[in-house]
Amino acid sequence: MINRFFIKLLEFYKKHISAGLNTRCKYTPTCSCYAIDALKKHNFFYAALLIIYRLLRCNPFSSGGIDRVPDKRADVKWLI
Amino acid sequence: MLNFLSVAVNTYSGFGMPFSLNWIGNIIKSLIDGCGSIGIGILLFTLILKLITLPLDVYSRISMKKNSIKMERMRPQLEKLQRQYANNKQLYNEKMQALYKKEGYSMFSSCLPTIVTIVIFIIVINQFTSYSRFTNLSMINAMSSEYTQAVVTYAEEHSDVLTVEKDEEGNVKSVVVNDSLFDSDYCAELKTGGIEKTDTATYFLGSYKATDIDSLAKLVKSLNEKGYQYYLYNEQFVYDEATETYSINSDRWESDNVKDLIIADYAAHNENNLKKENITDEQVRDKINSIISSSIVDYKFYNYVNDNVKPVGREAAAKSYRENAPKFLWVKNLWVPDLPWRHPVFSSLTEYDFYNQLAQGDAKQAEFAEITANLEDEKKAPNGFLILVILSIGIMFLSQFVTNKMQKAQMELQTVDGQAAQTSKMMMWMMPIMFGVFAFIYTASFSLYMIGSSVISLLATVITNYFVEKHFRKKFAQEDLARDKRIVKNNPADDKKIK
Repeated sequence: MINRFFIKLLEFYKKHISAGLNTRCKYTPTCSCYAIDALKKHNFFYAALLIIYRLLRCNPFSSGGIDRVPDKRADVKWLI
Repeated sequence: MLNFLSVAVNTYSGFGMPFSLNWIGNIIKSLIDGCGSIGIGILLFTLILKLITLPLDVYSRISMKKNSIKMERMRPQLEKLQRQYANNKQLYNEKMQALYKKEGYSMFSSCLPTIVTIVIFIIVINQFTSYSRFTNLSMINAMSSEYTQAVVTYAEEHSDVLTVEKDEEGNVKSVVVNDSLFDSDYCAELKTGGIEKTDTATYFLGSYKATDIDSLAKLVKSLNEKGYQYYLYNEQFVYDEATETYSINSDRWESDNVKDLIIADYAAHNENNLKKENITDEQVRDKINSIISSSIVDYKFYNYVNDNVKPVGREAAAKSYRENAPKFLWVKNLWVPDLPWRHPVFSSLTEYDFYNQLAQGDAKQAEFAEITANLEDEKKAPNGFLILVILSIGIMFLSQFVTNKMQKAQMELQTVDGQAAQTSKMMMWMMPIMFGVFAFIYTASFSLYMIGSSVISLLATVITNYFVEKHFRKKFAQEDLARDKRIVKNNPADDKKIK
């Protein structure tokens, strides 16, 4: 439910806002696509964690590249 | 009933401040106070905010420009890839990434700075909005206290006729006109007309009375001819009598009503033994005389307040506004949008009640009307001429244009179908329109911030572009030359392959 709402919000952002900001994500898939994927694959809280971690990685000093949403939530199990 | 008169000037306590500034608001405030000019203060705030983000900004712009030069170099290869993988977006992306790696093309643009920018933008909008409300409300509060201050000072200078009433804590309650005003030159006209003060200790039918009812009638007539809307107490019969005939004849009064008044007066002094039938015609005439005389004096006192005391307060309030008016160039109030149909001073208190937290009684509305009485022009004047709105749209458009041109290659080549270039073309219109809307909704000061911010960005872009272009074109040309030479030296046949 909440995930679907945020996906709608992100789709709106992708369509109407991000294109005008003239910036492109250094990762493939882009941060917003990653966020949508994460919300589809995982529950809201884990997805939020993944998204925040991804946004922090997407800074000018990281190398970028291909980075997909993990299918299993093993890595940060201790956090939740 | 000892004294008919209790003419007072209201003193005001302001409208309250239901919210306070946070630390960003306080920074804006101290910058504005420090500069002495609101416009300069805001531009300084913009400059400081920009200087903080400038290193990152310049760095990103340098790499953006570098990328765009590199992209131009890769254009032939990428166009080939575009044709080759026209139907496979994913594969194109992967091939493109591989090519980037080979050419040393590193994407600088990333999401975190963008998100930080958006967050800063939202915080600034918020702060400007609450600061504008704070300032507009502070302004009318200051006017209110200036009004009171001026009236109290005037009363202290004229302590013979005005008394400042204070409560136990020393706060000013109101400024009251003394009976002694009657003895001053201001009321000379009434004295020559025959009105005199009564000894209230023995004569408690009223504080004033004319020597005889005929001279009172003459006075009423002369005052009416002078255009006095002579102030009368509520009693309708007094009004009818005085305005319609100018002659005062006790026979025409309903003496029963007057007798009731006399009995009430006596009762107020614990003399309850008076009976209606014992009241003489002389007493009735005296009472009528007293009512009309006191009304005239009361009216004169009101006039004194309206002519002498209130203008002092109104002028002080207006002066306080005009001296501290947040004007900048053509905009009369920077905390209101730069629009011809908005006014620097709002026309009612309700418009200042941003959070529905102000006391909104009739008394407060009257207070607002009184302190802004000399600012009627400002309530109607246009606040601005749309110039900031147009400027912010124009500058946004220009900077969109420049960035788009710079990133033309990336936009066309980053996706298989060149869709990014198309969306960006649309965005070239969307962003300026969005900023135009902001300029309409928010305040002129926010538009000023936007314009300052965009101009600085634009300058930074143009300057970095110039130097990057100059520096890297040469470097790349040398690199190309060196590579070509190396290839030719190693294997002359490869030369053709590359071309």
